[in-house]
Amino acid sequence: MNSIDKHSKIDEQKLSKEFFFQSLLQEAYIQGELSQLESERIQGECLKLLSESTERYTKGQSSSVRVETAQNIMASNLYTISIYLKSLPNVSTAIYHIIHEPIEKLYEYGYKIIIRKLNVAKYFFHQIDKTKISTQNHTYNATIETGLKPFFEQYNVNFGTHEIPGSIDYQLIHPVTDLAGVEYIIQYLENLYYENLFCQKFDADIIHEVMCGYDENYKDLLDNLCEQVLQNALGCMFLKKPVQSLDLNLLDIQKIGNKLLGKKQPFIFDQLLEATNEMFEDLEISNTSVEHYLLSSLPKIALKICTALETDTIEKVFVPRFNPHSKPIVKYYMGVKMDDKAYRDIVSELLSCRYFEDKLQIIKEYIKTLADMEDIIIAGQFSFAEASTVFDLLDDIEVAALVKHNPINQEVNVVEYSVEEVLMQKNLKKYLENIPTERLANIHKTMATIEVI
Amino acid sequence: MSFNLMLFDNALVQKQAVSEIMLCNEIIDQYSLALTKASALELVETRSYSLENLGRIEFGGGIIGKIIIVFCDSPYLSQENFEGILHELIEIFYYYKNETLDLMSDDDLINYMKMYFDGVCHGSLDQLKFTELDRMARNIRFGYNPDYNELEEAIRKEMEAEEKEENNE
Repeated sequence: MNSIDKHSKIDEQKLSKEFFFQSLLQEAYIQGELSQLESERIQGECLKLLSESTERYTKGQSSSVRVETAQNIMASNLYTISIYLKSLPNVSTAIYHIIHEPIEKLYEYGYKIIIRKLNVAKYFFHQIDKTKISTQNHTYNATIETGLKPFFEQYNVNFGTHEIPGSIDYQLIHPVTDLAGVEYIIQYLENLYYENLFCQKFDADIIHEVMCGYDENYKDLLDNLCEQVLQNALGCMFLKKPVQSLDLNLLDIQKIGNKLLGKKQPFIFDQLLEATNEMFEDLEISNTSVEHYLLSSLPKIALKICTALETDTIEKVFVPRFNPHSKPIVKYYMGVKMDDKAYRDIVSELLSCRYFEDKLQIIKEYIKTLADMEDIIIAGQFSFAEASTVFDLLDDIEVAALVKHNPINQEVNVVEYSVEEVLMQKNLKKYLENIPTERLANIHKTMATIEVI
Repeated sequence: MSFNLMLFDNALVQKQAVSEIMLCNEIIDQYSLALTKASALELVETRSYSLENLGRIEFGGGIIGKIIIVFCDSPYLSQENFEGILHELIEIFYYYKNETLDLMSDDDLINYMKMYFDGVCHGSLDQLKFTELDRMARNIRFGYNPDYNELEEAIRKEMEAEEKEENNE
């Protein structure tokens, strides 16, 4: 039997992906697959490699460097060696190569692989640029447009292979952990590419509305876009709604909640799996990598749904679409004006009253609609104090409708309105200035959502 | 998880450094200077101590040999003070490697040290360390010429202004 084929006692799960070489040496030493002598030889060769790298780093100009610099170069060398060892079929082969090949050679092999991996990273970056979705999310845009570029400009294949220059803030469904350097970038770009491919199946405006439903300020958040899109898509599949609309209203979300309420996580997972496979057919997703990527996020979504059902927050998992620009308009009807003769009689009686209390009594008794109230306030030519008392009879929405119907604009007023109308507008303006801020805010909010007819 | 950089075979490095220093005896002999094996070992120890203290690491024999060769023709060195000055120079060298942010090569730094030591410092190590090299390191950190002297520049400008005034009068 060839020594390469020997079964290793080392548990691959215990090995760090980021510090592969170091952890492999440690495990191999513990398991007795590496003797003390071999271990010392490897350490000595690593230090010799460091010495040579440092000389290249200082270009022979300096015989000493700061300890941090040396540690950084050492980490870079070990990372490069790790890259080669990880490319080998298994741990036994890796140990065979560590024992039988000079460390310098392993470094050279690793260096060549890093150059190849950099090209792979560039390919994925190019693909991401092509498949980028149109969104207002700042983190997504900044990461793709400016955050990733420094990696390709500053990545140091000689002395900083383990580093990740750049500013990568956008969060993925599957965060990349336990990787460094070019390996991290490739994994990150690959994941982002699959997310882009999935999101491309949907209209950018629809994604925007879904994200607004999640949080109106999503453009400033560090949250993932694809995850919410996937969740809403699955919600649509549950209800047999067109998946590309991603449209769920509160009733739909309630239906999903009722359907899954009291169910265990494995059941929910099965439901999600079924819905996801149907979704792949509906969206014509045939890329197995994208499928695998999305399928592997289902356990996380199932857990999220379970927790949401327990805490009655299912509307945080499946969100209704929301368009911040289309605010609902409430049509406010000012009511039917009374008969002209009856109105004239009331006005005559009102004007003939000596005391305001009597006038107020007439208003309370005969005025039934806001349209008549507006006319009577104008005709009554009340002082500010009197007008205020009359305005107090109105609800916020009635005041809002009155203000909206009588926009206070001094330049227009002179030409467009009569003296009595201008007086009423001035009283109304003064009234608004004197009411509590909270009530005023409420009136303004109501004004924005009503249309007076 | 990182390799311990101090795993270096110190004995081997020391042996190499001592033999390099001993080789210098052939050159410094013409200036009536000499170093014994014991004093060479002490110099190597000073180097190790300085490196550790200043957070630096050195591969190979190091710079002691270079310092000896460059400084041996100084008029301010004699067999009596030679060894003591070398210890100080080694410490000063590594200190200013840090202070110049490693922007200056070993050879350049040693040459500057020698130039100031023999020149304005007249053999004073204190003036070398606390005045001249301090100024030079500051100049390098701020991107100026290492020789730039703020004080001299101010005096020169003042004199020029005075001269101008006199001419105008």
